[in-house]
Amino acid sequence: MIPRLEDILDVEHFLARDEAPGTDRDALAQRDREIYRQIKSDSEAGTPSEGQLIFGWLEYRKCLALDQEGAAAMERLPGRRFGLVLKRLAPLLLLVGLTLGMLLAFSFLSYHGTTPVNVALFYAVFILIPLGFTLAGGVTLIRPSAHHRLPWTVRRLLFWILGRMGEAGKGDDPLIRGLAQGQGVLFWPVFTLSSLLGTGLAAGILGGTLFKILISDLAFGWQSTWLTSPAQVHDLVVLLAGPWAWTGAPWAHPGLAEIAGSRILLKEGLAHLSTQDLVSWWPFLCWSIGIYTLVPRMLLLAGGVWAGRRARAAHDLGQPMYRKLLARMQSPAVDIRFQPDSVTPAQPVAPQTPVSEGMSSVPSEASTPVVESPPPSAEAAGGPAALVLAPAGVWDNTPHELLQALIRDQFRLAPVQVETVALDAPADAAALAPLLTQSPGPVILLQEVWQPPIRGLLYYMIELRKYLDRPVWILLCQGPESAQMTVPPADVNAQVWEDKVRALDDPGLRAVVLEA
Amino acid sequence: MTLSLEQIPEFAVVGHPNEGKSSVVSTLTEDDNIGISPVPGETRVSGSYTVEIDGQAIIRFVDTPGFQVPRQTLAWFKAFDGPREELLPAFIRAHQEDPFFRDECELLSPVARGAGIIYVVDGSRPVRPDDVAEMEILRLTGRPRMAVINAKAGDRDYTDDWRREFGLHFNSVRVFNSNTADFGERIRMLESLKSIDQDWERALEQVIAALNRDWDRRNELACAQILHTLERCLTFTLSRKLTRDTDAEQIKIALGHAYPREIRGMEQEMFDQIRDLFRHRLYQVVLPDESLLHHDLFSKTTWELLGLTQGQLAAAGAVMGGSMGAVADVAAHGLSFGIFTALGGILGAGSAVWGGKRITGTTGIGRRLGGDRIQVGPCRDLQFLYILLDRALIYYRLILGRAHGRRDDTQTAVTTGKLGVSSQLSAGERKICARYFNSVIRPGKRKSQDARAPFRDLVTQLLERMVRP
Repeated sequence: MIPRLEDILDVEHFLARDEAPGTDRDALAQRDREIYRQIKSDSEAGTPSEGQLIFGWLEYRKCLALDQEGAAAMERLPGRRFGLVLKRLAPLLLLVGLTLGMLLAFSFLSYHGTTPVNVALFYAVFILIPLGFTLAGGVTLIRPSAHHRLPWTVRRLLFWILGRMGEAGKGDDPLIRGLAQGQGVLFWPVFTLSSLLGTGLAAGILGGTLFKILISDLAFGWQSTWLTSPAQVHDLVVLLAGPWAWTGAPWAHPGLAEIAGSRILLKEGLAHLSTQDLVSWWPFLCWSIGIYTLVPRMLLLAGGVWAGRRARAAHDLGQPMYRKLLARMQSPAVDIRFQPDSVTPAQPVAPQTPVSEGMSSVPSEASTPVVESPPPSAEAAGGPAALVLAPAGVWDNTPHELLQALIRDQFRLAPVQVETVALDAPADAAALAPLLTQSPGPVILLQEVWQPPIRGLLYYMIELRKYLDRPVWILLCQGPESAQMTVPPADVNAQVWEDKVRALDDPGLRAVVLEA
Repeated sequence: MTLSLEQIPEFAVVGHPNEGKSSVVSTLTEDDNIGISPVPGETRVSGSYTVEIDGQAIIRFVDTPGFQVPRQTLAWFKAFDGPREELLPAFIRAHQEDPFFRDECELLSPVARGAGIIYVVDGSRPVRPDDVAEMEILRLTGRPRMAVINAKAGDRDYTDDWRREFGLHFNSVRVFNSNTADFGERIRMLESLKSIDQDWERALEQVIAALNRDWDRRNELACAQILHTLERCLTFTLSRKLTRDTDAEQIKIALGHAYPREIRGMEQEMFDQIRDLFRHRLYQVVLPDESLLHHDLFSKTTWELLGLTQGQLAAAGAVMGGSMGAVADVAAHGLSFGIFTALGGILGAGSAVWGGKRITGTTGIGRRLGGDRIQVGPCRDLQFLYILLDRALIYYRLILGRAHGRRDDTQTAVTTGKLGVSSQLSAGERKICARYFNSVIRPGKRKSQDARAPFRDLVTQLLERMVRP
């Protein structure tokens, strides 16, 4: 498929907009994916090509823009703006060319009965010079390049025109950028416009010449210092008339006698020249304008159209912005959908308490409140013996002497006894009952500080305190595998434990940190 | 894709509190919105994260609260004398109104409706009796289950202890660091899940295929983004009108400052787009301390450590037909691209060996255009292409290695080595780069698509090598 120039510009415009900072790229991916699915479902003949996808995307994108931004936004699209410029300039330039050509012919072909129009000068001005420009255009046409930079003045003129139409002039405008960078797709329409002007000019010259011949009395003559023989001039004329003379066209060129008869020799004057010879040139000149000026211009015009079409056909859809669009369109959109998945009643926002955590609902056989235990401190040195409880499966291989020493060092308590507990409150309480009489001090439960204070553990502590009817200190320490058992200051886990134990609101329970 | 919502594989991610369950879910689903806290017990209710492709659900992970009363739950399970398939429904029926068992009901509910189990433990701590109770609970559910040892940061590694314990209770065991897991790790995790239940094999294969496709798309988009930025930067110009009242030198200085700023902005846009592509939204990616990206694009260090070596540049200059050293640097007119001053200032018509010092093109820095404008850029230094490419690839690798479950900013995520990727390119690959560069800076000389396609393939390969080394 060969895309339209307007579409190329509009696609680039929308793609540039999609690149704007702050764009929601997820939404972008979803939109483009959705458009792709629409295009695919609309496509009757198999998988759409990349070009079909891109320009199909444009149609949907335009519809979305129309919905969201209104018809005014459509008017501002660069494709439309540039198309409008081309549409308006084309007839204007043709008209300007025609007018200029006619005025030029009229002013040049002025004959007042004294000096015939100089054929050589006419040929140079109306045929050779335009032919030179045409050939230069032809060279541009066949030059194998994807980029043709417009002359600076032409670019400025176009920028000015686009600026007059509004919205132009921004750096990210694909139209401005494309013109500045010399994109082929933008060059050829301008080239075609210039050819249209040239064609108009050639047609104007031809028309003006014919009209002047029709309505006025013209005479043509030739002069030359270099070509002294009319035969030489005749040979040249025959050569130039070759392209049309072989068809047998009437009045293809003046004959030798007519050429000789229209030679102007200043010292002999003009009186002896016959009118028939002087007017014999005009068909040849008109043929020359037609064949050497107008037809090449028309060919150039057609060539410009063809080159524009070729440039559009070869428009590089491998540009990164197109690749990004295609990747967005052709790739499935991945999304993560979150859903609450709760089966239990909504949780209270209030702090967790034993009641809210359901701990008080669990039956308890012993529930005697105890007085708050004194905070562990150095003053406790030499105090009553404490009972140390070490959960089974954790402290099994730790020498009791080590644990005793640690607690003695920190709390200055009397000799301590270390007992293993199974974290089953009734069973542990039953096993510990005989020992309580020997240890009137607090019961110290070893707790690895890094373990989360899960409800099961807290429940065990509450229950144990109730069963033992004795203050229980929860001694937060590192595990037996650690080189250091002590807990560093401001340890976040210790803080969590302290908060949790405080929330239990049991004066007989206290979290204590084993400090260095 | 033919899976219906009911048929999609569903996995409940369960475990003790604070083991990194949410982090694992976050990494598996690439969702950095999932709340992760160092405080245990923050996840109070279950939440399901369904991965959808084109609106079609393909896999679901349920983030659950941690076990709170494993011993009591296990005791209830052992005491249950009904049929085994009734165990979980009966437990939930019996306890869903009881706040004491609330968390267990939450975490076992997806298992009760048929979800597979991913049991997450922290490999940096030892096994404790509560863990054993949890494993036993999961074994009694009879559901397919995999244990994941989440290698959290810690001084000790108890992976072997965990493995020994898991052997008794789980169909499959996998070490998965939710802080560092990359795409390959995620895929391998899903591969492992296939083995725990044959019924999910086909569905999981589809999931893996879909994720692979999605990853290819990201690579393609990242590649296009990198090329887009390269072309913008390499062709970027800034110009300002010169009037009778303005001071040309002042304009040159202003443009000289604005130009690198604009280029940095384009690079940042590229970084942002790559970050978004990999679904890192909530948290800004903070560069590791040793990342070369800490250095400014135009800093001396960047230009020393990235890009080609001088010898490679010389060879590239030959490939480009001597275009490298032909244009004099006018940066010495007081314009301060860090790199010019840093590397020794003006070069004049030097050879490609010193190409790194020249960042101007035919229009030059501060060159007058038509007598009434001063223009900066475009940069026509081949080394600039390699610097930009290297930095893009470094950023890509950083993002690639950034797990979604990670919330800290201090851990090392990227080690770029002394030099970027470009200096390790083969001669043929450097030739592709040079041709591409030439086609970008001189669009009329060569059909850009002829040079761009091989370069795009090369960048795609470089990205692919990072994803699947």
